[in-house]
Amino acid sequence: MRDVGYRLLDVRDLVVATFRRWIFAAEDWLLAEPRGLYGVAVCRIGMALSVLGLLISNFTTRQVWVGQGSVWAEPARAISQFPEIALLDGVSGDILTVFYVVTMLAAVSLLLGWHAKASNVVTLVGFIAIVAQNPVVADESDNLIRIALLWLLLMQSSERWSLDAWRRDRRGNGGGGAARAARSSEEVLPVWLSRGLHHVGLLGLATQTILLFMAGGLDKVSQKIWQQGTALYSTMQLPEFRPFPALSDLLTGSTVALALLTYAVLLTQLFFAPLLLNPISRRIVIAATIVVNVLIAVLLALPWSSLACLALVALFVSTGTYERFDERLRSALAPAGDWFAMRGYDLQDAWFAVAERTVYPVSDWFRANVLRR
Amino acid sequence: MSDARDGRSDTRLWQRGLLLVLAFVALIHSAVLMFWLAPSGPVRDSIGERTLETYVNPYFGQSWSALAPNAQFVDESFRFRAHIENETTGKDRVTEWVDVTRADTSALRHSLDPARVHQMGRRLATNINGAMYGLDSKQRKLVKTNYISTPVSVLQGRLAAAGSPNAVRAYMAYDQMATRFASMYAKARFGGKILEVQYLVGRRTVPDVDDRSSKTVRDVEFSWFAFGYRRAFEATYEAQTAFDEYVGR
Repeated sequence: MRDVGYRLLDVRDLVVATFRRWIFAAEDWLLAEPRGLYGVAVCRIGMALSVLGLLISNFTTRQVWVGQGSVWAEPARAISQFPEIALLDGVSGDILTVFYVVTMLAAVSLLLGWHAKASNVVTLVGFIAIVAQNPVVADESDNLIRIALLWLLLMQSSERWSLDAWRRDRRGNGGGGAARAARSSEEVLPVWLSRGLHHVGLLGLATQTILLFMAGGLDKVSQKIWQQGTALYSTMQLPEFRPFPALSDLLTGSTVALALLTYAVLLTQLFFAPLLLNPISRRIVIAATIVVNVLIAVLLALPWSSLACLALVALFVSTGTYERFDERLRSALAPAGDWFAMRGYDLQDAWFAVAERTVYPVSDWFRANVLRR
Repeated sequence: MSDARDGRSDTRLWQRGLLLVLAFVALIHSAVLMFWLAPSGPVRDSIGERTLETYVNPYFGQSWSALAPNAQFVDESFRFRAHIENETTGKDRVTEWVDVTRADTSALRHSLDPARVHQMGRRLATNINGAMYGLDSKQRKLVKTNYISTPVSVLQGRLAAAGSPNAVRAYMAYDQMATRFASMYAKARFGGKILEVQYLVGRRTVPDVDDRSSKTVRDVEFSWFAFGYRRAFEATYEAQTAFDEYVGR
């Protein structure tokens, strides 16, 4: 009897110890140096480009799409649950244009990573307010972009490839201490919280992406037409998905090409998550997803939704790959950078030469004769 | 590279606890979304459709088949004609049918980044066709009658008396949208005073892939469904101007 009691105690200790180990591991994971900073930065850039592209594509027809001219879509708008649509409720054409342009500028600034957090908020609110005005012509990719922008709010999206990072680096040029001071002067949240939130956001968006791919893949594989490799034929016959009819016919005319594309779409969605687990298969599935999305963008005229999809995929590229790319990019751009720097100096020299003959004599004369110094 | 500050040892218990709770919430959130994305099953049913919907919508709303591209089989068409009065002569006439979808199709050709306005007619047709599925044969007969001097809200009452109320609400919303859209389009296209409009939706299915060498969707005739005349909608000056610029003459 006693033995059993001791053994139960042992088991309890073991469970408690294991649980503690998990909790500690989770805490370490959350509090570690921020992960995936490059991937998150590329996601930010991609999502900003999607928003910007969509707004540019619809700029000339904005008054009919979401402005006064969309009054016919009022009954659909009335049942929309987004409170943001109230921002544009019944506004005049001019106000819509201002709002639209401000959202575009916010997307540009998010793209460049200039005050990324603030531009993320403005882009998100502006995007929802504009797109939700006309639910009749809404697109599934709107949801994808909105959800990604929401999660990005939690993350440190401008630590790499951004004007924010560039500014911090420049300020902190004086060495480690100065760099840290420059960083901490811009930090609003304590380090533990900003790191924790970054990782929570990363967890949320990565899980969402995997679920999305899995759901899309499962839905497709359940249909006979996808199993047979002919699913994209009928879609590519419809006028709205046929920007280049000759190209569509060329591709669907070949049974092999059609099946290749159909299976590529199906497999990259269905097996996206499991293939991420191994470093080699991860590279393969990411490369295949990129190719598939570029093809879809052109063949079906879906550029902005494909781009948004790719921006999500960018989260899963390893930091090592990005670092190598970053290095190569910098060394490739260095000559151009040097050239611009030299022209900058030339410009400065020219300005001094002009100033010496014009501004300085005038200011000297002014100081000597008027101020009498 | 690694920063020793703010590791586990430098944080307080409540700080670590808060982060753990947030991470847990993110995971629970993902699990809820999984049930939302999944087709209906025992777990989803036990949570309840309404509960899930109020949690997920609007910000996290997505559909099961969200990830493009999808297999689509139906080509849809939206047409209308209008009864208009010439404001100077006072003469009235009925216009020819205007094929909105055809105009959109030519605008979409060779466009890699199509504007969404070119989907308006087609989406209206898709939604009206969808709403029609919810109506029974008695109700389908009712929507064919004209509502010119009688307000169209009377039609809603008659439809509701004849069958399922949910489908009626959806149909009435799209009827209103189609009427407004056709009225504004007609005004932009023909000018004058628009008295009534009548819209028409068509659908045709893409033939089997095996027949592609002999028969494509363009060889298939649309099957049309015509609705009764509806009293025209008069848009504000600014709204109509926006539409005029888009449609051109």
